[in-house]
Amino acid sequence: MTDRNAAPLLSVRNLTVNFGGPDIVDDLSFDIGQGEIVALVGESGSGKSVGSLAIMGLLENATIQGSASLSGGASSGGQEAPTELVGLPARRLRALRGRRISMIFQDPLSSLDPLQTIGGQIREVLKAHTRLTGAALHSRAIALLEQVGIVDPEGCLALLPQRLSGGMRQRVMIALAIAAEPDLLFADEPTTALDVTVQAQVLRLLKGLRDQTGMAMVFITHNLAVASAIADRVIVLYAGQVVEDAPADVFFRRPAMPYSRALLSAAPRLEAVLAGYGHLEAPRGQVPSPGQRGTACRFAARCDDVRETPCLASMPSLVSIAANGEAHHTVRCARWEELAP
Amino acid sequence: MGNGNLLYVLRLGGVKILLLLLVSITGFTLLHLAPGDPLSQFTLAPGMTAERLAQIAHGMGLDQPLWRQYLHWLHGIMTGDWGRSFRDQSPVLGIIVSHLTATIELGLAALGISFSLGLGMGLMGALRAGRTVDDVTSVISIILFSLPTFWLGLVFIYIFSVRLQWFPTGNFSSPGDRSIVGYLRHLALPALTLGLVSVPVWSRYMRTFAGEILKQDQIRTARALGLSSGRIIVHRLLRGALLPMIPVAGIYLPTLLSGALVTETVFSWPGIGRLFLDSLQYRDYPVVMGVLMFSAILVLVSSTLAELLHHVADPRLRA
Repeated sequence: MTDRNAAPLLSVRNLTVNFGGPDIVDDLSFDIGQGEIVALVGESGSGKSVGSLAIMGLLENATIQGSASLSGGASSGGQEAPTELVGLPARRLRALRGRRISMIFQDPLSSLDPLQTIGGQIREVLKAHTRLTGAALHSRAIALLEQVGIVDPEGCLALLPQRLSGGMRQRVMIALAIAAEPDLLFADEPTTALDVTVQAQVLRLLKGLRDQTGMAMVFITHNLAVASAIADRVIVLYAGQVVEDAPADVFFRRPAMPYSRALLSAAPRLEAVLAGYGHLEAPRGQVPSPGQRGTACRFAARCDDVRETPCLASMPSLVSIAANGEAHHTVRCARWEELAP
Repeated sequence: MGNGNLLYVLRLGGVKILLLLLVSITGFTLLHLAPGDPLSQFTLAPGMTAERLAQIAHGMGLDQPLWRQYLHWLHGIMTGDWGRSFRDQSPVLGIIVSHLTATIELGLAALGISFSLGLGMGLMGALRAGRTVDDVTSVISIILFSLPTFWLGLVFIYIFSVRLQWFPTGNFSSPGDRSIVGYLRHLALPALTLGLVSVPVWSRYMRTFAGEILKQDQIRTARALGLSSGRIIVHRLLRGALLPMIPVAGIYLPTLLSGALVTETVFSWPGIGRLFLDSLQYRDYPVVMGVLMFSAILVLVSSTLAELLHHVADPRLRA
């Protein structure tokens, strides 16, 4: 699916976000390829949501620096010149939202308009981005609901959100987000509020939609099991920075950053439970808050492999550790080579 | 549908009739407990004798025990006879109706002022939460809330009528002037007074309701889907915040009446409020009771209407 040689769909460089105080997101850089599903993983406060909202232009009163450049999408065959999202006037950003980049959130009930029928809400979005009217508008709405796996789309159009189950609501929310066929979908913990069976269905739906439409996806989650089910690539954020960026298969087999390893050993694993030692190791301590990040490695205080030098001497930079011919893999750890298994 | 709804309406109606009865009993009792006597207006008349006075009292039914007077009055109300004024013997219902127009006009003008100002201020405060606009509108609301109506009225009269001489000090119209402009000039100050003191009700509720909706994810989602801010403010924010305003309006609209009582007195506006105070001074029991019952019915009707309207306007309750 991913073609690393092609220009990335979204290229984020040195993105820094603050709300008048210390930087919440600090020098964030990553690429999202066309049609790629990237899991943005991290604990609460790591900056994964704030970073995404900043790219979407949905933050108020925030100072955003750096660059987030969106290339011409699948629809234009990548021919259009890239659009710089940071600093784009509100009007132009609004025109891009929904049409080029879209977003779904954790709680599908509070995300939908409680006073408007599903049909009304879908028509509202379609009218904002297309010229469809009348019967064409109606059949597009039906097609969208079918696409997200709603069994009785005609009946669903007349319902208010309160009449739908949590899974159905999230499906409707996805239908709204993809109504104008965006090239990139930010999904901020879209399955966290759902129960496990529904979670799996929604993940399958999102992956299926990517396969159908070629839409890329940034999947924000703190749940590594969910990330492993959907992601082509995993980006781990820690205290506002990228600390590891690796293809999913590589990441789950041999993570290079001690923090990634700590996260993985905190995730419940079937083999461990079956073998009788379902003991989970949570990374000790807490993520340093934005004002107390210091100049050393930000994970140092919680790291089992910390050394005076180089860990506390300076902030490690994000380095590529991919061997020749291997896929893109970067890590922010001064001792990654020594620690490699 | 059908039976259940009917039962609900019957029960609701029953409760309301019971309430009206309670209001009437309380009003009737208090009125007769208060010092003063409707007969006092006759005692000073030249050539008045005790005998003649007793005759008048008998004619008014005032020589009967209180409970009898009440039952007599109640029977009248039930059969559509609201009694006659002690002052000039004209029918109470007719007097009320003739004073109603002035109060309705004043009420509507004041409502227009308070509603538009209040909603505007509340909305601005919510949209700029925590910023200067929010603080300023909040402080204005609190000041308006604390101002006594009569005081504001007197200040307006002093500034705009006495000092600047822009508006007349009161009354419905000037002698010989029947023009619309003349009428509006008379209406301006009382409407502004009554309007301004009721601004805080709408602005505080609007600030709260709109603030709650703005906190919901649906606003952020609507923006993420690329809907325009105008559309979001009108279709999501305004619609969502006005809906819970309907029951609030049902409760607060009748309070305009009590505000009108003071305003009409200060500006000698010939409406229901002034009628009530005048009648109270003359111990004109039938008119006072008539206005009291009329207001009580208005309160119940307005809250019931608001309830029904809320049911119709909120799609979640219809489904």
